[in-house]
Amino acid sequence: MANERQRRLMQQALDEQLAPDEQAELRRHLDSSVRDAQAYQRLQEVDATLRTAPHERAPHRLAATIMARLAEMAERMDPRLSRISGLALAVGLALVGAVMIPIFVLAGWLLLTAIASGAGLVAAIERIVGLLAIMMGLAENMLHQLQAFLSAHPELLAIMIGLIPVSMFWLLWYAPRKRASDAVS
Amino acid sequence: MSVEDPIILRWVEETLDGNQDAFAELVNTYQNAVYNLCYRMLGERTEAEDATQEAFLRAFLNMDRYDPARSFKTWVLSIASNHCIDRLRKRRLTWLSLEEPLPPNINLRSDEPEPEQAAIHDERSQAVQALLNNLSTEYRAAVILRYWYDYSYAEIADILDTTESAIKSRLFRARQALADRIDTQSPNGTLARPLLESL
Repeated sequence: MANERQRRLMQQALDEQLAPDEQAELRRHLDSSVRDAQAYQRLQEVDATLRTAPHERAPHRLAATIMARLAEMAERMDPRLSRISGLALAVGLALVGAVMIPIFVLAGWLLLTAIASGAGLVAAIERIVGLLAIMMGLAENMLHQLQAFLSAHPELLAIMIGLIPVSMFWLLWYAPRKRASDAVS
Repeated sequence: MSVEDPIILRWVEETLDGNQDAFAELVNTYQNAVYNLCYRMLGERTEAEDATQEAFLRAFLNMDRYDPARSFKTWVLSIASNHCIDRLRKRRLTWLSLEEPLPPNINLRSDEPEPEQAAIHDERSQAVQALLNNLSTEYRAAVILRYWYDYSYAEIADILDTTESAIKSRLFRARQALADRIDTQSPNGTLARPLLESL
């Protein structure tokens, strides 16, 4: 019965990786053991069978099917992209509306007040200025609080800055790739 | 330094620029190699076709990751073999035992030159496939890449993302397993001999 080394030599012989002295060693062993010579013959038969095995040819329609699937995938990706663009447009319009509608309402109210009485217009402007001053005060207060918080926790600032390249990477690399792989599946 | 054919590299670059015709050229050039690998791995023509399509679509989507210093064929075969290994793992987990006999393959292709030759080709092909089906997924992949594509141990290790010594070991054990199987079927090799001789 072949030991580990002799079995390894047999396998290496099949891959033509034996040095001349190893070849001689294997030959001597096979000459002395009928059983191992038969085992080696079977390995050679397996090797020869695999070496001469036929190649399967792809069906003629395969390339056309692949290209059709690719075109289909591109079509599936396009509406998805346009849906995303449409969503972005809707969000943009909503934001513009949210800002513009109060301005229009305010302008209309001012116009109506000015038509009704000059003193009323002055009072309205004073109220608006007062309101703006309160809002500015609140914003300034929040800014001071934020500055104090970041001074106490400087690591948060570093994390926020660090998140910028990560989010950029996600937007530019991962998201389009994810959409594409979703389209394939 | 690139080892790839300049025409292949040009098709790759044109594919990256969005030219689908260039990708069609790549598909035409490598479809037989990829299909043969998928068929030998999966043992079933319809599934091999599907796996080939999937492999090429993945190649298209990941074309920007292709390294021109590497052979395109090796790269696309790597995608295909990994995809087939995944499929076989899922198959094993779901419904098909590797011991189950394969369904008969009916060849409906019209591109075979002669019906008799086609029959001989199919018989040989299925006999080899029956041998391959006795191997585990990883062993089968190593054997296919070695015998059908003549890749070196190092190249197979690269494709299957493992070490050269692991590939050597898989090939040794795979051949031994096939020889043992012949032994098991017939201690004197008399039953196995006609099968092998018919090849």
